[in-house]
Amino acid sequence: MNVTPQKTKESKARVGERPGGYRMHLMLCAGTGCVSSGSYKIKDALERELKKRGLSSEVAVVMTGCNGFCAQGPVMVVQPDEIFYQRLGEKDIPHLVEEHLLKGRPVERLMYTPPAGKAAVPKMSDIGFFEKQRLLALRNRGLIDPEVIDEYIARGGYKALAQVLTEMKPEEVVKELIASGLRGRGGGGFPTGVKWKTCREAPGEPKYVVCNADEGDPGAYMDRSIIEGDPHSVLEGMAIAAYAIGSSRGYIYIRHEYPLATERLEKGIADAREYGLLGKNIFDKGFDFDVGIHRGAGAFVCGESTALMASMEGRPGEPRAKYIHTVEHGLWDRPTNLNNVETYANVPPIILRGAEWFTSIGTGDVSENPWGGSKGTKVFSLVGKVHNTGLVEVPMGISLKEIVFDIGGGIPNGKKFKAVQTGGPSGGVIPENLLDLPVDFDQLTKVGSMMGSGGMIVMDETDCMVDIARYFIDFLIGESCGKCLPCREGLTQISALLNDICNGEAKEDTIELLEELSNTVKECSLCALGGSAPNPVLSTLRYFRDEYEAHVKDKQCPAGVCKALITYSIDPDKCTGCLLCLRNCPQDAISGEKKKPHKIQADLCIKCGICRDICTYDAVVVR
Amino acid sequence: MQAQEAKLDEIVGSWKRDRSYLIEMLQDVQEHYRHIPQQVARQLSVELDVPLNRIFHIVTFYKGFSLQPRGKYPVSVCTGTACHVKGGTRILENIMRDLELEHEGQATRDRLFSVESVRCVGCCGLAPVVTVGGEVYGDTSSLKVSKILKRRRKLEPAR
Repeated sequence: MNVTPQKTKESKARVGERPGGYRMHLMLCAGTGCVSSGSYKIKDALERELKKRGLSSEVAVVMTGCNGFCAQGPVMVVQPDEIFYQRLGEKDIPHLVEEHLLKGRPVERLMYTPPAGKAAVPKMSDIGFFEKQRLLALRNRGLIDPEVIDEYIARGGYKALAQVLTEMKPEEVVKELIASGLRGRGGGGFPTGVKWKTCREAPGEPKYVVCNADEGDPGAYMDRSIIEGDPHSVLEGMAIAAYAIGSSRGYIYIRHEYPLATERLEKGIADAREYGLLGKNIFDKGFDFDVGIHRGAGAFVCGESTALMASMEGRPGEPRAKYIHTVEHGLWDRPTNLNNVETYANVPPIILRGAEWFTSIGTGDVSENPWGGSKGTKVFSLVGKVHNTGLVEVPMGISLKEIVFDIGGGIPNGKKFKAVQTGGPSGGVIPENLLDLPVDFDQLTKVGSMMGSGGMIVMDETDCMVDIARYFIDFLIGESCGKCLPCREGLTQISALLNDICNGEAKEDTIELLEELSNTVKECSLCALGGSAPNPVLSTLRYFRDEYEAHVKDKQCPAGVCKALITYSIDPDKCTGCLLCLRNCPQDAISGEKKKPHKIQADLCIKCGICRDICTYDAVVVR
Repeated sequence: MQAQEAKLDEIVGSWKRDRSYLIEMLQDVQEHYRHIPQQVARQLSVELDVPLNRIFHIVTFYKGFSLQPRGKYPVSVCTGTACHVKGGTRILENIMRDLELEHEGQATRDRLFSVESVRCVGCCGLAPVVTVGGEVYGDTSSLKVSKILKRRRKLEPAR
């Protein structure tokens, strides 16, 4: 298919064939993680060295979106050999250029070595972290420069949009989406096609297409990476949605904490307009569609559909009761289709390869009922106490164990796995005995957590479950809009009870009271934020009640987190008397001489943890 | 005073005086003054014919706005879940103590730094994360941050 204007042809020549082109491409990650680990310094060093060696015309440095393996940043993949380099420093570059690029000998020292293994793994696809992943939403990850629209087009971009505009009726697009079983990736899991259908059939003009990029869940950054790494996949998905529901105006609501993502979107929109892929009469088919950006101003609740739209109208982001649906009365009271970033990014491949192909991945059966299963893949941010932290995209139905241990490489520092938290502040924890659980929308809900937008935070034995529950409740208190009482006051009281428990001041009946109050807030709150807010408490109580009881009855924090219940001391057998902790203690609470075991004076200690952080001998003990 | 009016005029104009972009205008004000000065809020209310109480409702509702001036280099300590389990909350407490700040959002006496917690900057793979003046530092610790701040302060011209 001839995708569009002339420029596309030129672009294919440039990217696909690279005439007189480069024999090698250095795909250097420019995701936020790697940038903060110094990838632009590496870029400069590489370009300097290439120039020095006269390789500038043979080897190109390409800055890509997030590669996903953030823990090992800055990372780089050498194509076409697919050699994966990690933790690059400026000093490594001259050696790397000489050995690999000049002499053709990849440098083993800079490759990834698995925690348990001894041999380095040269090829990216052989590394455990990447091996089990399946990339749909992240299909262009690390393969294109996100700021160059030609590269997206060269990888089949905007072909799906061309196909729907030239070959499909809007109803057929909706039908295809329903058949694919795609469910909302923002966490709700509502079938996307069904939402499109309702919006299409809703009376009222104009209709709006909105992309929810207000990724508020702490511990999650999937949407950010998709936008930063492949902004056009989102724009294309939105354009297809607009065609399907009969809209010509789209908006992206993005958090202000994501400046780079916003910049890339702005550039993407400008480029797409220039190429005629946004704007009037796209593909000469009489279809108009354009996209604008709204920046959020920092409010978690704005991820909720009605709050988001209130915020877009220039008002405080307070939700309204849910019996009026936004697909019928949304932005400016008009029918509005709201999907999440990852959902839109999934649309083009579904159109190109068909619903049948999409349903071959995942769990359940969606042929009769769109809620009957979870199809396709899900992107997770695998973070916390796990070796290979980063962004992973896996087929639905994969087990938690595979994600945490095969992809994540297990728990670092010889610690024991305790739980994994999914679903953000509305989700819950999943303990060790449920690790074989297949990950999909329905299974996670069944065990008291939820899919959520894709945060997956691994916790080890040093994480206190009461503290985690308190953490989420305090987060939600700060983010509650204050409109309804159960959420506003209920959460404050839940927090007070949790504080009592953490401070060792709880009474025998505190836990029951906590449970009762949690259920009340869950039942009576106005929107989903309040309705799901007690989940972290209820799920930690469900699986770790003994830990709550230890706080209440024995006045102990088994994980060693709750300040009121712990003391810091130094193990004289491990302490070498290096003076490091003594010099850095802000309270001068540590005494001792060189080469003799130090001591912590309990009445001066404020339990700030600095000594434990810097001790290289693991001699600071918390009990 | 006149400069202030001119600046606001420029901001309001850049959003075509469209009231639905009130939040965006306030973001620009925040960026320029590092807070929302009362005077500007009043002016904006008159300019757009929006009740002042609605402007304050918005300013106090969203975390991105402050009524007190922030420091030249705002320090955001990430307390997202991944950062929390890796000690982000402790880092926040330690930096506040280090800089002798009593509450979040407050600026140091020399107006160089202000410290706030932020719920997830989206670099969870590098937890714990702190940003200083927009620059992201990953895999950090209380001591590392205090060194970063000291270095930053040294680079500032003496006042």
